[in-house]
Amino acid sequence: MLEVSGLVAGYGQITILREVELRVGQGELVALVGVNGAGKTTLMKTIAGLVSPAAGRISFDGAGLTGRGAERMVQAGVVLVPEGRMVFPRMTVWENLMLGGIHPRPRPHREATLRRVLDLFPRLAERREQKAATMSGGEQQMLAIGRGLMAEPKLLMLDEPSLGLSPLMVQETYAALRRLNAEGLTILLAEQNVKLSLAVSTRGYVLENGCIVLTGASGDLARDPATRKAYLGRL
Amino acid sequence: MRDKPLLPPGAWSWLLFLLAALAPPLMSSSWINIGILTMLFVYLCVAWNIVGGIAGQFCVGHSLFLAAGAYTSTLLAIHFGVTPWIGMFAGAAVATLIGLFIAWLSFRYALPPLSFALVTIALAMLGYLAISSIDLFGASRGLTLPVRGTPAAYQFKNDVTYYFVISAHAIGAITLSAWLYHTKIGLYLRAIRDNERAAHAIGVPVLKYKMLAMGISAALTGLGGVFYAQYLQYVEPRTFASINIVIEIILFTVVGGAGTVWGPVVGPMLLVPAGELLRHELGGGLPGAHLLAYGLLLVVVIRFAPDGLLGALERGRQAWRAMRLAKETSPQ
Amino acid sequence: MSNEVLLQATVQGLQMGAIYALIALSMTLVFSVGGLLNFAHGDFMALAMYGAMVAYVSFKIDAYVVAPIMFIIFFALGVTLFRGLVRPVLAAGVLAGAQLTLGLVFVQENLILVLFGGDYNNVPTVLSNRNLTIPPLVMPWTLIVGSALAAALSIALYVVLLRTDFGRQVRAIAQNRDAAALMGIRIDRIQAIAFGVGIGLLGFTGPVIVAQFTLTPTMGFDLTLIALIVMVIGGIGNFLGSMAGGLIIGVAESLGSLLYGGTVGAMIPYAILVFVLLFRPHGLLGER
Repeated sequence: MLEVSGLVAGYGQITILREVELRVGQGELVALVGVNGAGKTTLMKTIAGLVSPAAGRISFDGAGLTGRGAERMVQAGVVLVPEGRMVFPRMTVWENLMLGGIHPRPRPHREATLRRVLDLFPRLAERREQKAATMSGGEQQMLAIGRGLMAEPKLLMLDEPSLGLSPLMVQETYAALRRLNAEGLTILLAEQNVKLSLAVSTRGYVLENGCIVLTGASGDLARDPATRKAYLGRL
Repeated sequence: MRDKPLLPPGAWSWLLFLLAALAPPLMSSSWINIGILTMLFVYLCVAWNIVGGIAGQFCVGHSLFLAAGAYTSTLLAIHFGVTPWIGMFAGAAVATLIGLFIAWLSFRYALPPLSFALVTIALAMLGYLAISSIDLFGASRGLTLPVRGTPAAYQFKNDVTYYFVISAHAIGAITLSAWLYHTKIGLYLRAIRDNERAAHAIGVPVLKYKMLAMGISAALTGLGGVFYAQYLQYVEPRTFASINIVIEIILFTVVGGAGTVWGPVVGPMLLVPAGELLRHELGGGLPGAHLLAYGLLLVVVIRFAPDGLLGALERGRQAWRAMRLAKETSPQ
Repeated sequence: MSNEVLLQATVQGLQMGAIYALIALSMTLVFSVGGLLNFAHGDFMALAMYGAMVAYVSFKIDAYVVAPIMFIIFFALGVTLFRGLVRPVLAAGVLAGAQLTLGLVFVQENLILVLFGGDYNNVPTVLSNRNLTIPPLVMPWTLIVGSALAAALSIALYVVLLRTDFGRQVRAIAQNRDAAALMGIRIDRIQAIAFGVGIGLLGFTGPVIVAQFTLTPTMGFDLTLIALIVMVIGGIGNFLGSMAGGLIIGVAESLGSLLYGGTVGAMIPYAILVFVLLFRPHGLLGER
């Protein structure tokens, strides 16, 4: 579904991504691992349309979408749950979720989607009228994922969902992701936590200093000492 | 905001500027008046730039300093017969005190930049309203200087002399500004401007340097106020204490390129004569027409060169260099 | 000082306060969504008032009829300015945007000067010189209608922001722009509309209260400063705060003028501003 080739991107004069190649097929759960600063967030933001690439190609479902901007990506069905959650702090859970479905494509089914999301995350249903800023990290993460789901994504991307979460919340979140993938949702998952992400995914990419240095089946990557070496970087 | 000097050792800039400073004998009388105004604004813009551009503290209260200088020396002259040559130091002192007070107040309470700007606006307005209503300051009518006509009383028969005096002021201010810029002080101020928290973290005494910048800027502006009073031979709130003149100073500096050494020189040297010319062409028939054209010009410049003319020039240079480099390294 | 006079001044202050509140609200809209600190805000309203004068003098159209037309014109003006001028300049930073508006102040004030001269002007409306007397208060109808409309618009704006999808998008952009982009929200479009509404409101409010003011070319900047003060006192981005702040400033100014004279009355809002900025920088009610 998602094909990224030769991607070069950065901020101003600083280049972060160097010729990145990436592929996510329908129904897959693909992991993107790398240390802090490897460029995972930049890659996610570039695919999501927040950052305009200097070179390379991004295509989704056969359509070329390079540098088209976030709105176009959401239109195509590519939705990013960003690093740090980025929930709207002074709005309630309900308002955050409603905003998730505000794009014209998912908007007509918004009410139905909302019910499904609240079924998936009962904790959110309990806190419907609570302001997002007052929720715990784990609850905010659920809200951010729920908000992403409201846009009826064909590909859901998550940037470090386990960051700052308690182990229990991490388990719950990953269980939800597994369930969603089992139901057919294609997922691209960026994580610092190698063990966790490779355990739940079928394939993986290892990103180091803006380049893809390893790729393969998750099981293979997990056992490969090269992964650990790339992951630890040059210490 | 760019912080690289445009011309390598600054020699060319100095040459050009000194030529302008020494030009008066070649200029007709109407041009000399424009020249005086231009040099005055160069001086005031360089002064503002020290705290507003280099230190990055957007202060809109400089009308207070201008008025402090002008009114102090004028009152001393009127009531005690003190010559403004001495009075100007008193004026500068008053201005500096006000400036340090404002700086201390704002920076001690850690006002974010927007709030700081608003506080300075509010204080400037309070100053204007106060001066306009207190009789000691002549209220809204202002005060007229006692006419002595002697250089000892800072009054000259020949406008050319005024021109040389203000040019000397300007040269002094630019020298000070350039010196500050290239020494440790300037480095600290620019560090504070670019990232205050980082500067604080590496040990820069932020409050002290902000106050230093403000104090210098206020003192210089105060001296400028004295000159202006002596040139006009009167003081009144609308000219000296209103926000209008500060807005002009800021706009000229921004158009030239705030935060650089020569930006606050280039800005007024282009815009003040342009404004006066426009006034001559259009102002006769329609009052305000020249200011309107002026405003449009400023809006256009800000629209297409938001980091000032010097910034745009610098970008142009870099683009040209990049193009030449590409030509040289491309295979033939 | 008799109680009646104090009461009169207070009521008048509240009414003017409602008007200040609306100006501050439209300014907050432009600032928190558009990211622009608009020093020329009051000048737009002044422009609208002069427009009402033209309509009355040249076409004999009453200001109240002109107001809705002005809304549309100024809405279009706001959108155009945003797309052509504000958005490109804001790419260089908030300060650049503020400096742009200072340039606009120049343009607008002198445009008025050129077109209408520096004399003071007054624009009568059908309601001029008519008062409503509820003893012991004597209230000019122009102020009653003006403040009532301002209050109604403020409430309407508040409701739109809180309950409609458009309002939610506006708030989303103000709270986290990147996240809003990730929802597929068309940021530029919403910003342009919000900007247009902000300016359009000024276009509407100007004629509606024109009979209450004496028109001068520099009146706009004074209004801008008052709006800034209200915005800061109420807490930037806090809509309820702006409404409360407007009322506070209106009453403070009115009572101050009554008790201490015009100049001191004019100084009070600035003094309050300095006080708030130093000791309660998040506004009396906290930022939103």
